[in-house]
Amino acid sequence: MLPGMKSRSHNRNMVVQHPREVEISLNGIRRRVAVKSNWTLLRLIRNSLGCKSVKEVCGIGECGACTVIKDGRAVSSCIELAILCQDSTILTAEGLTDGENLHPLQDSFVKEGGFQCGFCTPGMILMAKALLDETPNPTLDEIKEYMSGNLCRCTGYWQIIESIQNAVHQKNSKRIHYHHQRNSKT
Amino acid sequence: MLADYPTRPASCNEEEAYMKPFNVFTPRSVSDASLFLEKNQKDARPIAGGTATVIMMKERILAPNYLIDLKKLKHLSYIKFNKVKGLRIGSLTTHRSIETSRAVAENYPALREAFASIGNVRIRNAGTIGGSLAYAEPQCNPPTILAALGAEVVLAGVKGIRRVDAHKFITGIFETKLKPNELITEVRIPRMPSGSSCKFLKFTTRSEEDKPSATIACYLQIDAKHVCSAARLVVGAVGPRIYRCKKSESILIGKRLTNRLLADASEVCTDKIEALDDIYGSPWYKLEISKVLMGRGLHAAWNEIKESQS
Repeated sequence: MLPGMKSRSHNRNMVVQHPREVEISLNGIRRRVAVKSNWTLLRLIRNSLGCKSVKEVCGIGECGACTVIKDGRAVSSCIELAILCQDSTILTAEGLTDGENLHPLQDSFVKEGGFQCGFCTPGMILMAKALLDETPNPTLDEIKEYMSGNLCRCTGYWQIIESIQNAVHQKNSKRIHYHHQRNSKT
Repeated sequence: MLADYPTRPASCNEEEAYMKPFNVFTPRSVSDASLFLEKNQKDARPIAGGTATVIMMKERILAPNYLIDLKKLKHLSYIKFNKVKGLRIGSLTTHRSIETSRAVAENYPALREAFASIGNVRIRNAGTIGGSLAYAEPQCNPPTILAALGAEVVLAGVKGIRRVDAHKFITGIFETKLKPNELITEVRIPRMPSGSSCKFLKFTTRSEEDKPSATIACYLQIDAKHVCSAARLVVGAVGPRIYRCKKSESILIGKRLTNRLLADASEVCTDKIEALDDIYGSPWYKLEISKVLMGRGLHAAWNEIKESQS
């Protein structure tokens, strides 16, 4: 409670002192963790919860290495405050697979050579996932525009674009194949 | 200007190099938030998307004791379109929802374009229209386009609600007409009558996502007699705030437009602008770029109106 505050509307413990706990769902697992008010979401996920795929590079939301999918939308975790993420659902690259099979996008990045050093790759793949969730069949321009906020110093970007296109193609051809099979049976 | 600020600590992973700890206040309504702001004027800072606030806190430009978490006020995130009243956007609407809104794309294509060219998708997913206005950085797209569209900003404070014209809202770098206890609740954009067109153009020197050296937005309205009945020309990013080009507007209004007239108007559009010297360009360069952009914008708007009227 704040000193000198007696107003009725404020007398309900709405001011939260730091540190405190937040409850987030990280990669499908609900977790309750203690956070300090000045932690970014990146600090919480990477250092406290051990998801090392999330990286801090520029710290101002421009490079995309810290991309996570929060409540279904890609955000820069380096400029999100952890303490304000109560009840949010967060997906990182670790949550894309079950540990056995690769996610179709990961598979496509491997096959098309969509990375070299791999530093930007988790962010790239999460951003591509967010793109395909929004637009299942993106055009080349849509891919370029959506991925423009993720920087990569190795590939020259074409391999990344081709990896995404390939993943879309794979998904569509499977679907066509499936229909074809079903039609042929009847 | 920015060079005077303390630079970001080398490593952000070290505890002491992080932002100053703070408390969080979660308001239940706008009046709750403004009451709290009134009581803790110097210590409290509202936060919406956080794309600007968190960066400033990391750089220790801001070190508030209390953050007011506005994102929990979900009812302030909406886009309502009415053919008579125009567009109403709640202050906590993200840039991305404005960009992807059908009502915006169909009726205000320039508004969509301005919001689609902010930062990157992640920034647009987090950042809000109200936050961008309150941040009051002249390089942001929203103030420029909203001023050209003749928008009004609705402010709610302890004493009630008031409305301010978008082009008067920003008074200097990071300075606005907001009183310490006020919050932006809504942006109202009037309808676009037939025979009107608005264009937004920006020019960046280093990369597409970089802060621009110049942004312009121009609104033209031409009546059935082919006379220009209204014009709003705005130059952003060049100086410490956005500028309405009144002199250019007075050249255009009440006349039948010609190529010559548009050239004259764009030539004087940088009149009275104090351009800042920074890494995005020298004052001379920025002013020249604005004139060229304004010429292109005016021509594009004029051509669009001519096509729609023919």
